[in-house]
Amino acid sequence: MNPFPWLSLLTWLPLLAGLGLLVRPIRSNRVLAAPSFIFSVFTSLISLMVVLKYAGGSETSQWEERMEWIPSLGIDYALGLDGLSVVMLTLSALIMPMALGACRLSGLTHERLAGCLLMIQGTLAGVFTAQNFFLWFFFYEIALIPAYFLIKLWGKPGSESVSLRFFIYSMIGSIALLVGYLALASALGSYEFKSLSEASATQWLPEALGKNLAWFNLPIKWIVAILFALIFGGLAVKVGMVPLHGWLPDTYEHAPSPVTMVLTALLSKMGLYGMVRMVMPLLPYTPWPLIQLTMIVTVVGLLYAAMSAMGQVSLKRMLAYSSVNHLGYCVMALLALARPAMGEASLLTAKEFALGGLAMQMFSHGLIAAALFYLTSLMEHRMPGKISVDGPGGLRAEVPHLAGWMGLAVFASIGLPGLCGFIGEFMIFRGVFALIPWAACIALPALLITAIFYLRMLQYVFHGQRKHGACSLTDLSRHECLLMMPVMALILILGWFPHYIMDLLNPTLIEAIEGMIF
Amino acid sequence: MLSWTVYLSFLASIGCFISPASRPERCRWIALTSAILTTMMALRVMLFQNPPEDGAIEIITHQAWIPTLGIHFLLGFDGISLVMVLLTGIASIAAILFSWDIETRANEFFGFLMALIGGVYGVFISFDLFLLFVFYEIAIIPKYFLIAIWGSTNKSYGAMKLVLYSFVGSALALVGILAAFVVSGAESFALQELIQFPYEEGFQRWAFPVTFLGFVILAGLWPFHTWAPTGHVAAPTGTSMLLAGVVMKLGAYGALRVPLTLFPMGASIWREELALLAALGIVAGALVALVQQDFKFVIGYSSVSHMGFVMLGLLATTEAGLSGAVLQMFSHGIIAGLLFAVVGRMIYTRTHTRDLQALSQFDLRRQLPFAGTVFLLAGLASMGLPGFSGFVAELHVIAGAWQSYAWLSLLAGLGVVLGVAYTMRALLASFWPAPHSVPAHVQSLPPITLPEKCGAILLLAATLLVGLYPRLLLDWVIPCLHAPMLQPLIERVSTI
Repeated sequence: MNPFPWLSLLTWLPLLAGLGLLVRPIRSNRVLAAPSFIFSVFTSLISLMVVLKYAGGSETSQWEERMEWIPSLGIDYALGLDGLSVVMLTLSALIMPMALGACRLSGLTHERLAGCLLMIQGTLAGVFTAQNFFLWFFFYEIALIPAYFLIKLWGKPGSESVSLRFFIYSMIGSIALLVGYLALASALGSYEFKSLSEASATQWLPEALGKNLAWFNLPIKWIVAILFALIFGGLAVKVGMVPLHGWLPDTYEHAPSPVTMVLTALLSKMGLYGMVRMVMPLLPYTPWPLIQLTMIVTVVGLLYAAMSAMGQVSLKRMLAYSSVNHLGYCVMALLALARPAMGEASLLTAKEFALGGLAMQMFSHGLIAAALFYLTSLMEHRMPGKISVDGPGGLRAEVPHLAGWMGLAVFASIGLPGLCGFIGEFMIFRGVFALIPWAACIALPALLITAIFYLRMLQYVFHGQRKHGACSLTDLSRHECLLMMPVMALILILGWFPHYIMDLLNPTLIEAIEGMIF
Repeated sequence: MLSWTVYLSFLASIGCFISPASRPERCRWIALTSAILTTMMALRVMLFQNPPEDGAIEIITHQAWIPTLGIHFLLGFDGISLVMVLLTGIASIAAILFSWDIETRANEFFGFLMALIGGVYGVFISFDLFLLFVFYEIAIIPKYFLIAIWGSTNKSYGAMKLVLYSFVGSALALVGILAAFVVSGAESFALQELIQFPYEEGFQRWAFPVTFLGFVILAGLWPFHTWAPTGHVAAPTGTSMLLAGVVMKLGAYGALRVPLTLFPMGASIWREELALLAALGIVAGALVALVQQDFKFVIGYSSVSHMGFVMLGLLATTEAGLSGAVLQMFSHGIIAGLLFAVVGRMIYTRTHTRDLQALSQFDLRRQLPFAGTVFLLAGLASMGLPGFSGFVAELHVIAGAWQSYAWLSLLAGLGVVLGVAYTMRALLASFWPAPHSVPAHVQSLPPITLPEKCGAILLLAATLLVGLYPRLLLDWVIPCLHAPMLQPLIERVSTI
């Protein structure tokens, strides 16, 4: 269709550039953060150009690139864009330069660190545009390697064992996912995401499973349940859902804050994105009790995460648990889609709300979490050491701008109407209330708890009297402000005009909802 | 042309033996030249010939050898052979480069090494089963001397155990081959003639397991694998690379060529039990690797685990499984070679220890950054990360196994997870020990030499190339699976 492979360029250019930085021999005193920052901005600009051109087009899937790759398994090298991909691509284009810039501003200027981040930028573009499982998994796994080294080599003391735990957890999740999806793909005879959703829509999926995976004459329900458990469980590790989140708080705390930005804003989204692509088509066939069980675990888990956040002393750990809580809403919305609508219009609308909310929440959580960790990294740079939530106090007087922006990000995270966090959460709860009311009811107190611990943090860290040490900090510099402007502006703008994002998403989401058979 | 791989290797072997022991460099260059030339021959065929669409065997040489017994000197190749020949070529170049430092009796060392390589080439391109068996035996003898003379750590025990296991295996395989010949009443040992004969089910019922076990003992099928780790550890580096890299493949290749091709009915009777052994081998090998203190034993047991994938793929007897098995043979040949090269040559000859605890004293990452990078990449490849050949291969195998035995593919998945664990453990203990365990003053180590760098880069390039573009091999392998020779095997499965 399009003669020039823009999506491949977006993927491979940063990936190879990052790799190049990693294999260059180290010489002392050579820092390369500035060129790599410019490179990242450049790549992001290309992404945004692709996004704008996509928005100008009329079809839901565009920019497809396809080449035969491994014919023995019927795998193509296929990249393409639909509404969800576009939104996630936009998010990574916004966050990655900011993370690289934040590294530079907080004194992390090692060229290999920049190389790792560039590699992640490339793999993200690959993950969000891959059209089949094989290619998707390829990038999904590759992203793990630079992430591991970012945590291990530039993390706080003690990050050795933390990074290992991150790696092992991720690999176990990946293998479960791989094994599960391979079974699904060998039953369907195709690795394309599209053929999975088509098989689900045409009700051919159970037939294919029954024909090709008749293990021990298990009923099809059981087979789907096993596949659901493997695929959902594998992805849930990446998202950091509660019983599987053991790696997350330590990792987020030990990684340097700019890296944590990427981990929470983008890498955890790979898991959610995978859920939309791979778990959603399975939902109509998954046994209802299993859905209910998973739903209970999810909502109790997100409530637990909110309460844990309240109990944290370290600011970064609090933010980490808050992320677990926010992404829990997304998983809740996804599971709620399993409720049969039976053609009832109100339930169909509710499903559209839930799915739209899920996508919106993914995007806005990306923005907000990135903003929060960005500001945290600036604070860490000014006050070395752990920042505790009952913290220094009185920072607002010293750094009014930093405090102000932190306030904005915090309120967005709480879900104040008018800021972008509200839209996603509202849509999710609107949808889930209609679909599975009890789940929404259990999850609801988490919203309140979130407000409590965030406000308490604002009060103790920024307001009141400085507790000890009256060192004067410098407020935000021009560069620091400029770097976060795109994200902050979007947090404000999307709160009032969510349709900029929703218009991109809607055709794809509606197609997906209509594709679900009941 | 491809038959010259065999002749040239044996010529080089003789050349090494007759050159004086005082001139080791001459032997090295003879061996290296011959290995490079033979690899070029394989590459030439692979790159400049189109794979035959029907997967037919291209006969190179066909001459009567012992006509009264129907034994022919019959050399030929198809896609699967070609892949294995290429693997042998690459692995032997690397093995020679990593044996560059051998000074004692270098003429004999390279002589035996080239004889081993010649025998291996011979197995891969023989299509007369008797000839195949002869080459199979020829490959065993030099192994013994290579380990017993130039080895380390329990070398005579390791060498003897390896040879005894190999002979037991080949005796069983010979029984199967002879029985197939006698029962069919054919006038030739040629594979293409033997497959014409419809063996009875009762005959296949016992002939298949005997022949199959005979071959896969050399491939390290659990629980007949114990020769492999001790042999690998005892062998000098170049030999371990060849042992794990290509000699174990002889067993798997033989199992594919002889029992699976000749006795498809027997295969469908026994494949579940044998596949269970293969899957157990994947997990057991990985578990044992997880607790080893000797670095080389970690790699040795990881070979057992990875070869389990080959056999699981073979026994899945689906197209995906079989092509996965061939890919895994290639991939493991390269990766195991790389791992043994780092551990046995780059580290051991410098530090004289392979104990993981002791290695943390050397601050290896800063002293040998090249070795660190190579082992990191090789470790990632061995874990089966996408981008490296191991991933494509294991993916094919698991996909194939899903169709045949669902639960075993879960076991294989567990094996991959354990693979990550033992590789990370070894990697962290050796190259990234906790900072406080590294002494302030470390004994300085000699830098990595040029031959080592060349060998490592060659192997890394091979695994990456195949990982990113598996069609390079698959275009040759897939038509062979559609060839009439393997059809009975694959069809039997799909009808069950």
